[in-house]
Amino acid sequence: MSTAIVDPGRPGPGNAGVVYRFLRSIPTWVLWLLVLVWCVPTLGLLVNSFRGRDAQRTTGWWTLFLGNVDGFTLGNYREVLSAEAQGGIKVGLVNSLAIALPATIIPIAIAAFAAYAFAWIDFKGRQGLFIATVALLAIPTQVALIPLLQMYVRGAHLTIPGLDKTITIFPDLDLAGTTTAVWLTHAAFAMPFAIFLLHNYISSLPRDLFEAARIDGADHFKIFYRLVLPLSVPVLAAFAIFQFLWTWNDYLVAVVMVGANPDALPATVKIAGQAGEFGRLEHLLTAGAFLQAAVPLAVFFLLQRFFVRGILAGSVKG
Amino acid sequence: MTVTDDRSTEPASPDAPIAKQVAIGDAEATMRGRRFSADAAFRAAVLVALLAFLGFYVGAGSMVTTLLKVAVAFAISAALFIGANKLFDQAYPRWTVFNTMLGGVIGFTVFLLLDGNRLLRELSPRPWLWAVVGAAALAAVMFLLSAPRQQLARLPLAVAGFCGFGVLTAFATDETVHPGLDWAALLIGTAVGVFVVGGIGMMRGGSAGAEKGAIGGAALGWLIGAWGGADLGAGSVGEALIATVVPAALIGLRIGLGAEVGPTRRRAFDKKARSWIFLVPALTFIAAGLVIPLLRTIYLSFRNDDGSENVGLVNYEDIFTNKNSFNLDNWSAFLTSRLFWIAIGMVGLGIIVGVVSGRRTRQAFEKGEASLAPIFIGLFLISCAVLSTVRGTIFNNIWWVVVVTTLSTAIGLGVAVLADRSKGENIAKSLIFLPMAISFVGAGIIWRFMYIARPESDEQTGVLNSLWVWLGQISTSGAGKAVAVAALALMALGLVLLVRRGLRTKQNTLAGISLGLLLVAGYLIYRFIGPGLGGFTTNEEGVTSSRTILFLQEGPFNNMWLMVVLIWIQSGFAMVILSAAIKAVPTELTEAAKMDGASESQVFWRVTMPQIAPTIGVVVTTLIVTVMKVFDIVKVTTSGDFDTQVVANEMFTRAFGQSKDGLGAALAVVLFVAIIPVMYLNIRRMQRARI
Repeated sequence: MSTAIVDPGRPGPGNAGVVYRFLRSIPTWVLWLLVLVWCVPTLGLLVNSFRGRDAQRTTGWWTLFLGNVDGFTLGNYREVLSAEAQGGIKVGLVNSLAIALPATIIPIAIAAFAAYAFAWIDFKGRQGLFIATVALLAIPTQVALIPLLQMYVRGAHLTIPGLDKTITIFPDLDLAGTTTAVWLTHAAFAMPFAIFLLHNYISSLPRDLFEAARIDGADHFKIFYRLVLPLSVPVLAAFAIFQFLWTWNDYLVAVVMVGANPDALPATVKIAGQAGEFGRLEHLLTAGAFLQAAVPLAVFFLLQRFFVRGILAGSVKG
Repeated sequence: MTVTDDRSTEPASPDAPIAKQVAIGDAEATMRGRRFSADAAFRAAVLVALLAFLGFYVGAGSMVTTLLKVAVAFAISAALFIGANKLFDQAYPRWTVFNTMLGGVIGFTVFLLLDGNRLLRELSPRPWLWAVVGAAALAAVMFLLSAPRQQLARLPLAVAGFCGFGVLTAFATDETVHPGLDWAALLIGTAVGVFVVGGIGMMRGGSAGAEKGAIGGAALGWLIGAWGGADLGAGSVGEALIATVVPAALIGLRIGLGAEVGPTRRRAFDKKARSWIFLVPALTFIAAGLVIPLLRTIYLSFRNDDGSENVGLVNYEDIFTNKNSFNLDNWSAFLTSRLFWIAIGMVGLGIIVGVVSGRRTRQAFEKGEASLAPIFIGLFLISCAVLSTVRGTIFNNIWWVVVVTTLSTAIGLGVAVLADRSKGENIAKSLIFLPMAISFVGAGIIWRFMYIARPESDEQTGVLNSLWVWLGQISTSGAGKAVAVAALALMALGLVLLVRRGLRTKQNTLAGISLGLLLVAGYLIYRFIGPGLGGFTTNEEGVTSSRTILFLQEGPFNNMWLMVVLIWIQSGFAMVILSAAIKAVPTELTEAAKMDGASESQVFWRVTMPQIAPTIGVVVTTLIVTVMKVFDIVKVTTSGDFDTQVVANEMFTRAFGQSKDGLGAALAVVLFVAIIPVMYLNIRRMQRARI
């Protein structure tokens, strides 16, 4: 083999070898330079979140590595996490959880039913309905926000055309400005993607399994919760992680649905609001932004395999 | 010793970050092997502890309330679902029980809805008492109907039973809704119902179908004609009776005429119903949360700002004639921009290289990295030059899509290729991927700190301005200038060596990249020696002082600085997908090419690239969707000021900041229309995968 491959760049002895090795290592250098550049912004935020207001405003964060430890403090975090402080983020974190948890758990169950039906129950129009569902994957959230907000504010009413009559389809439950409105919206938006993802997995389970269960007299319901649910744990986990991060990091839906109610704002909306008044709360913004990112980053470092899979599985989502 | 590619000695690791077919979301293979390892358990434990700490810190009370709410919502949904399944479990073995229960459920729902709309007489507790009454009545009717086994008894029982239910409903209605019947509307409605439903029945089941359809259609038409056509509140109980009893009797007739339901049909019925039980919850969410709002948004886009008046296409006209969103005034300016001419030069260079090297291989134009890369980069720069002169929201969005999609894919591909042959591959890839975990809001804030510009007399605290000012200080001090020029000259020397080596070994990629960098180095040397470089300014008296760049405010290239934020996030995404695709290229192929004497760059461009081309397509379409609706980053950094507005942020401002629903809806529709091609591609891709 070594004779078959003629390496044209084969180094000669002596100094040329050093040069050659240096040249070969350039791609590696470029890679690590890029990695360094990619880390600098996050690192800057992290370091600055431990520096007091004056330090943040007068010296660069990198001076910490040059031995400038003035103004190193945990005060930002203390202030951000205390309930009363202006620029506090504690309530925001609670609200983020109150949105992300139901928005993750409820779609999983509902989508699993539908995914099972699409995969293993024969009915007319199955193919068409499934394609229609998946077609909704890439739809931008924006197209549904105005009518949904209207519905949460005053319910949904249908006026019969040509007549002067109105029927209430969805009563005004006073949902606007509550976290419920946010997670309901997220649940609806997650549905096509969840069905798509779970269907791909559930439909790839071996057919023999279902036939054996059918022969044993199990009906669809029994097959679903005895067989399909336990076997689908991996894909359910991947979806759960993706959906949790998606809703935790969401800004648009939250700011539209609860933007007017300061008590129900999730962390993203809170820090975005503080970013609006940059100068005054700038030093707290670092700590707040880092706390908001702490949950996704923890998931990232501890469950990286699942995290990557969840993110990538979600790559088709709109 | 032969220099071999790492990939040939070390097969694609089974731990490759993702499965090959990303779009399929294939999650099983890698997960199974590791489900219960100690490492995984440890990580999970740390994570749970962290979440528990967070939960405890932010207040156990509110956590418990949240969890309780989730549990209740979950329990109600589960109970409904299991209840429906249990109900239909009865359909086959116990037909009567099933019918009675079904009648109860339907009666309950109908009366609940009627009373919920305040159409029934006052009876407290509202609306539950009426719902129970309705449930009991319809359950009784259905019980009567399903109990007897003789066809003879079915018809009178059905008609009588439903008439009774009709009478109850008529008397239950509140006097304010008693219909003043309009006989013309009633008869027309009935006739239309008979023809439409009867016709459908005829098509599906011949004359018997037509008969059944006609009866059902008559009932439906009568109901709609009587209640819809009437002047509600103007009639009497008698008229309410006519409006309800006749259709009820018709429904009874329709059911009574049908044959008794045998076991086979029950089985089929059970199966059909079951698919709907599994589907209906999800479809309800999709319909109520996506499809109907989408249709309503389209409808609203043709209405005025509070939706009260039809205005036709005014909103769309507004978008495409408004100077803020669609401004072509200055388009010719790109002809005088330096960027544009450099780009044209690159395209020309690419064409020349292609033609010259094509002469060697007897082609009109040789397609290779040396010819295509300059053309591609040139076209990219031309689009940037053009898009920086045509201004407005729409063009900003297009600019975002072009730049972010191209650069994210390119950087992702570059990192995937570089990392594929280096030590610490996983660490490097993790760190590039890390920004994906951070929210767009968080990323916007992080980069604001990068771009921050302090007053020019102060020390800069943003990394970029600090570097810029530092460059300026170097290029204005004699010693600094000398050192910088010397360093650059050394680099240029190295690059010359690289170019020579690349040319000698026919590694065109290496030669091309080095040549490009050499030109940059040359330009930098010129700047250092000549006019100087970096953030400084010299006034008339010759005193130099530092000058900062207002990255977010100085247009039109502040748009590019915002795009950097999204590129920073999305490159990791492109990298992971493309890296998996590269690892999935069979080593036999690359080995065979190397045996035939292909250089590394030839292997990459001629073997690997065609193999991963479909994956690049997936990455690009996905990125286009993401970029098209970019919102958070612009909102947090500039809020759309300084000419950085994009469609999604404009839509948010109009619809939710200024309550201009019509205009906001029209902007949302523009976004939707722009995404339709991608939807089409997704469907095509999926259909191909299923075949």
